[in-house]
Amino acid sequence: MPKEVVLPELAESVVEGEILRWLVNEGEALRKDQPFVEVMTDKVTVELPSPYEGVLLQKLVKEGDVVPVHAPIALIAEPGEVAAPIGEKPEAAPSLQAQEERSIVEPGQVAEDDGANLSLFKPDNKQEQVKNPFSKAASLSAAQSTALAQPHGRVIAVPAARKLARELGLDIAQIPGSGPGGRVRVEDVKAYAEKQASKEVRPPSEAALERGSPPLLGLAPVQYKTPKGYENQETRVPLRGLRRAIAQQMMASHLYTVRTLSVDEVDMTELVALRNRLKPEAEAQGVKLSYLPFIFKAVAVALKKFPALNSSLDEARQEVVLKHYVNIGMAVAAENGLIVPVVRDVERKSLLQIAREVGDLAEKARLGKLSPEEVSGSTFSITNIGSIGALFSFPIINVPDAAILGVHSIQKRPVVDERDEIVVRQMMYLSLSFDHRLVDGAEAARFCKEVIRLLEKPERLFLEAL
Amino acid sequence: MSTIYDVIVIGTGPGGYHAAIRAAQLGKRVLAVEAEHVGGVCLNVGCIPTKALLHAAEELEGIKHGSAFGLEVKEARLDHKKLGGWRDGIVKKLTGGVSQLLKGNKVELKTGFARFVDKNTIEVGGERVQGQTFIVATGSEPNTLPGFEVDQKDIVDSTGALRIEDKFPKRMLCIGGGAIGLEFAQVYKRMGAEVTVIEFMGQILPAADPETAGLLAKILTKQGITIRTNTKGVKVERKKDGLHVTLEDVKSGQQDTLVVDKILVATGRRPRGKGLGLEAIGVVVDERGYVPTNEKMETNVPGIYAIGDVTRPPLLAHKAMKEGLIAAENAAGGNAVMDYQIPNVVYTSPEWAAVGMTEEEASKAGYKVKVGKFPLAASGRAMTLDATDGLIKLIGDAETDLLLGGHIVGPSASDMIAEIALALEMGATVTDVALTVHAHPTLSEGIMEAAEHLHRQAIHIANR
Repeated sequence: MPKEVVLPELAESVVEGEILRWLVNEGEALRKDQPFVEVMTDKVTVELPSPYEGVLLQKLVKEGDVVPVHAPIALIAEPGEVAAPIGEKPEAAPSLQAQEERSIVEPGQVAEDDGANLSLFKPDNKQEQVKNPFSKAASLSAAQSTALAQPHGRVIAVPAARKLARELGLDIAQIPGSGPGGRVRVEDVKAYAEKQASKEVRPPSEAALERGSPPLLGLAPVQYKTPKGYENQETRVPLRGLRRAIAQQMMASHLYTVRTLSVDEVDMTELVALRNRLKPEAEAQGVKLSYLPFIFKAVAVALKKFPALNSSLDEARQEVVLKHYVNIGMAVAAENGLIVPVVRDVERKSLLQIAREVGDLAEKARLGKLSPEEVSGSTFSITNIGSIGALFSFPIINVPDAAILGVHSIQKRPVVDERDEIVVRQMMYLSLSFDHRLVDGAEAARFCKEVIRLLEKPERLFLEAL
Repeated sequence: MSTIYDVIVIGTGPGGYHAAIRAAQLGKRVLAVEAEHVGGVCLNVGCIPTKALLHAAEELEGIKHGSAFGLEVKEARLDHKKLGGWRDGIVKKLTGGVSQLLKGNKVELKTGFARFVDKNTIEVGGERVQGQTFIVATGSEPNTLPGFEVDQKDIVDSTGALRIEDKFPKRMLCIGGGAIGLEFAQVYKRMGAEVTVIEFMGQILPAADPETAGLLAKILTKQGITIRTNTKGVKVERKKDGLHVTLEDVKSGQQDTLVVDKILVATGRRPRGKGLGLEAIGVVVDERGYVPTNEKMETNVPGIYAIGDVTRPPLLAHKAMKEGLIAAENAAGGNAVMDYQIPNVVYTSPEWAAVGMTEEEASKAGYKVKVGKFPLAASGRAMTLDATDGLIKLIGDAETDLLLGGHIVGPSASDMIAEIALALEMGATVTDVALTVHAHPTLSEGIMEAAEHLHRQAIHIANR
């Protein structure tokens, strides 16, 4: 009996994944643990290993589909089972004589595939866990009617309703049925479609909604119309994968934070000198030492003193969550788009350790090899604009963080020193973007000043070192 | 530059002509390619001509056995030549009708064997034709059986067996106890031959509900057909007094010899997925010749669809027809999928028909199986038809009362099964069926009674 493969929990708090690319075609053989599909969650791409050996019988989801965790994504036939397409009864095929006249019934054929196995990527060979869609249904009241799976793994829905749902691009399994036992009728599909349509004018980020932000009223999605005469001079690219994730994350940040900017500058002259002295030693240990680890460290120290900048707002519970750990996300411009890997527990790590992790994560980001854990759990973020070189930037907060610090290029500039003389110093701008709901302006400024204090006299970091 | 068709359908059997017509209805420029005869196996040498013979055989049998109600006919005689003509007339009328339908829908027709040159080009009769999308509907052909090479004279396949007007055998062996083997067994038996059916597996219709398949075997045996299950044909020797066939009991290995005049090889059909150049353009064709598709009938190569027998069992015309419509709709930019119940019928008399799950399948799928039965011996209508051999059986889920399947042996089972198929599609409960008023007296009342019996509330039978 073919086994159903579901989307596994790829990381804590990951609730869905986008099917990016199938690596194996239907009908092709699979080894156990062979990667067979690429899934993207929270901006990282993972290749799912096949939980079984066998043949990929059927892809249950398309590339580009966003699939909830635990939802079935593929059917895999066991080795020895016929490499058969959908709905075919696995057969023993003894001799030709036994291959009975095919025009006879194969009543089993559709049903066999329904042995919907709910094992979450854990092959359970001893006992095939058979889904009984009705064991649950029996306890449902009629009012609670949820569409029930039918024989052959489909929902109980009249054919006209199934067809309509397909035409409207709706998943019949998601549509609550009003008929007895949860049967989905044509009216149910229409009602669901209307509800969906009204939902669409709400903000695009479900994730943001889940964080409990108030729904925005009357915001219709922007529709693009090609200007007359330019019909053939445009290319339409589906909003997929990383770009879609970025769009959603950015919109959530834009809609659900009160973003405020605070700009300051820091004299990096001494840090430049210190870093130049330490660089060869780090290199001797195989680590490329940039300025970032120093900035990470200074930020971690400052965050301990200004915990509001290391907090999140749980709107649903009307609580501010203060974090006693510092996980710093760093924005990396990978080939496909922006991605923010996270260096965890910065306050407890040495400069060298941080330098090593920053290098590893940046490399992984460029190669697209980050794991879901490596891009989640940030408490604060840093974006380094310096490498490309804008004078200032107004960073967008990596929600649910409370703030993000933009660091810019270090440039020699004329500065008036304490003796009123114009001297050449290594200067760098800092732009702190913070959520004014959580952080007040004065607090943000003080936080910046603390970071500056530590960076200008980097030996102060020793005083704070653990 | 020649025309580039929107859709090219390869094969004009039931699946192919449905696909071609639907694609044309959706505004596509369609070419249908046929290597042999328009209408395919079904119309020319399959479903239709066999049903013509079965009907004639049944009428003949009815006349012979009418004495129970006083019908006395001295000598009923069947003119095989005339019957053959009638059979061919029906085929001609229907295939002509299909050609007209294709023409009426502006589907162009080309005769010849199609071979893929690339993803957008086929070669037919030395000419290259281009298309945007292709629907492969090449169907299937009879399996061969080593040692029993078909010559269409002494050893025939289903096509040869249609020719009852040729030398009619006194003794006949049907190898294979599936639909084709059983249907021809009855035709030849009723037309006067001594008929033996052998089946490799433990029951005729091996995949069917064992109770109804077993009942059918019993009825056919009562009609005088010898049925031997767990039996295979080993070899055949041509001797003066006939074909000496060595049969072997697959369990004990014991052999014996049966002497017959004609052998029908009906050991299934094989798909025609190879030899079309599909592999060369990257389409997956499995080792048996099936072309796998997804439920939208798409092969692994975009723009190439496959439907019907060539895709997967069951090899049934009505499955091919529905798949043809689905492929055509998708080829025209639609979004249709094949997610329907497929009924199955054997046209012996009495007929056997089923749709949905068997008891075993239902319990395997995790249902709490409950069965309701109504024997036709308790049906007034069956008595007035002098046809009380039969059974209507429904499978339901005890927890939700959901109807899961139906299995029928009896007259008009092929028509009655449609009610159960509709009920399954609509997600009906057994109660829905029980509460639906059925006219009296009819055979279909038995479906309502079987539903009542599943709840142990049948009126005409003991509710055990």
